[in-house]
Amino acid sequence: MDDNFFVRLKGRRVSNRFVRRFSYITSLSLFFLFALIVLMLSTEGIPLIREVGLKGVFFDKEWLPTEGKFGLFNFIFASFYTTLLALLFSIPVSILTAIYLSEYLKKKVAMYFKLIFDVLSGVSPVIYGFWGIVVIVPFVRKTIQPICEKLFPCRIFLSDNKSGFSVLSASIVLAIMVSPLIVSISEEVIRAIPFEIRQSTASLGATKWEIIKKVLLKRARGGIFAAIILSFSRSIGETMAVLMVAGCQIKGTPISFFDASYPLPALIANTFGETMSIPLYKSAIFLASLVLLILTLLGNFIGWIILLRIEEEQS
Amino acid sequence: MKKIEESIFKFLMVSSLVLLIMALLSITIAVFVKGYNALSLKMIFTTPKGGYYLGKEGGILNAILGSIIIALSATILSFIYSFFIVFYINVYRYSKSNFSKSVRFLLDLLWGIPSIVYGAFGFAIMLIFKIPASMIAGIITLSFVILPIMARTMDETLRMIPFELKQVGFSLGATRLEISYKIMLRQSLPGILTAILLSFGRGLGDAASVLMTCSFSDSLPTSLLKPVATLPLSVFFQLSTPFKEVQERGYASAFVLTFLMLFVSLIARLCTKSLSKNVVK
Repeated sequence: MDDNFFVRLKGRRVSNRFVRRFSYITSLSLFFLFALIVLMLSTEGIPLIREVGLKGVFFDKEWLPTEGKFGLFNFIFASFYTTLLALLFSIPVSILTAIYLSEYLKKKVAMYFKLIFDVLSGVSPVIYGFWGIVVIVPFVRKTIQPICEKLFPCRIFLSDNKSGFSVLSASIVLAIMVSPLIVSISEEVIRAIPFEIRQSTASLGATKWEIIKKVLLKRARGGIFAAIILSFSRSIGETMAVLMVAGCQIKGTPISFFDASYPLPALIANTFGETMSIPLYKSAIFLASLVLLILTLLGNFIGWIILLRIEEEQS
Repeated sequence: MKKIEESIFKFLMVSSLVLLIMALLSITIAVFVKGYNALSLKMIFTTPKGGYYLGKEGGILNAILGSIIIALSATILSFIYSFFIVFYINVYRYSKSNFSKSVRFLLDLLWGIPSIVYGAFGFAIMLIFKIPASMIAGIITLSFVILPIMARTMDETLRMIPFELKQVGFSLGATRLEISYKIMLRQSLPGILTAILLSFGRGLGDAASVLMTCSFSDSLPTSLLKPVATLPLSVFFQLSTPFKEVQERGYASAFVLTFLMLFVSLIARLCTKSLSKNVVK
């Protein structure tokens, strides 16, 4: 062995050590980035709470920035309203689809359907908004709203907003946007249940549907719940599609399905440009972002913890 | 009775699958039919002239170029960043170590943060340092948005590599760095490419974060320090005007955007196939 060998060996070790340290710092900087996001939004958003008080921000319905009134209640309410309605539409449909894909179709056929869902869930939110404007909003305006008004003339179905840009349109679009997520997670959770369990239930004389209803759904409960939580936080943060179809008028609390809705993300996207001159206005926008951040982090935290625990049980 | 219940539910299941597929098909059809009819070559190759949003002459070249440049740069930035992270947690640490698990969990959390919140974060930093809306701000913010997507997708492929391959490397006296680029990189090349294209597609389509950080502009992207137009925002602005002709152009822009995104996703799938011939299974 000549000297050259040792020189090269040293070089290899030095470069290895350098890359190790550098990548370690890079990985740690990710935690720093996360802390920075939380910190920035808090320091910018908290001053409003200090000025107006928790009650004034979260329970006040009045939003008059020029007069110093920053009640976020209507926006937060609209966010929850639209999102929960969307989940109400999408949960049954997605779970039924997931069961069908995992239990009644061959893996290969199911893969093709999942591929379609995958590709389309990657399409820009703006395209969903476009679809909402072109297809859903006219449909709501021309068909659903007149029918509902005639059949059920109660507060939920009556509104003076006849444009079709409404809570209902936004939730239909959101429901279609988040369905692929619920389908793919639930399908994976159901498919991962060991074959022996199906077999032993079948040997007790259960039909296929009974196996699904009494055994599989019970075992997959946690995973399906996680899918729902994750899609909740996905849809509450959705901005562009909602901004395009929800109507976005400051007109009190939306109660009817056909009222215009003005969710938090749309508020941020619409008003951030005008906030420069009034410090509290700026603070209100960052507080809205902070609320969104906390809601989505909470949802993701719970959802991923459940999914991780399921994954660990299986391995 | 059992039979009836099962057939009712089976019917419900098939109809919900059909409903979902129909809805997704209707999106594609709406974009392609409405968009294709409104599309003209002139629109793709010209920039907006005065009064474009009132129905006058012009096109969306600025937005197409802006989107591609921003998404491409953000993809490159976040690729470099996530490359080190992903190889660190899979080669230098064991994939199942607590450190790797917590990084992975953090990435999942970051994935869940909506892009408007990243936009607000970028906006807050810009306010502090008094940076005006500019292309560079948009690129950096967008790279944060796609970082978790890129890193987690790459991580999934690296995790799947059998441990024996690494072991063989160690037994030959390779350093972890050499194992990274001589074994792991080659083994995960298709997965890495998929991750890159997936994040590029996401970057093309993201609107909320760039809305807050790089605003919009009617001229071609020339400087890193000036505002720049992006395709999703161009669709959004054109659709929100009350003029029929401008809305038609919005449909055409939506068509271009969808076409670009589907094209990227198609290439991703094709490349994955042709690159996986070197992979040891």
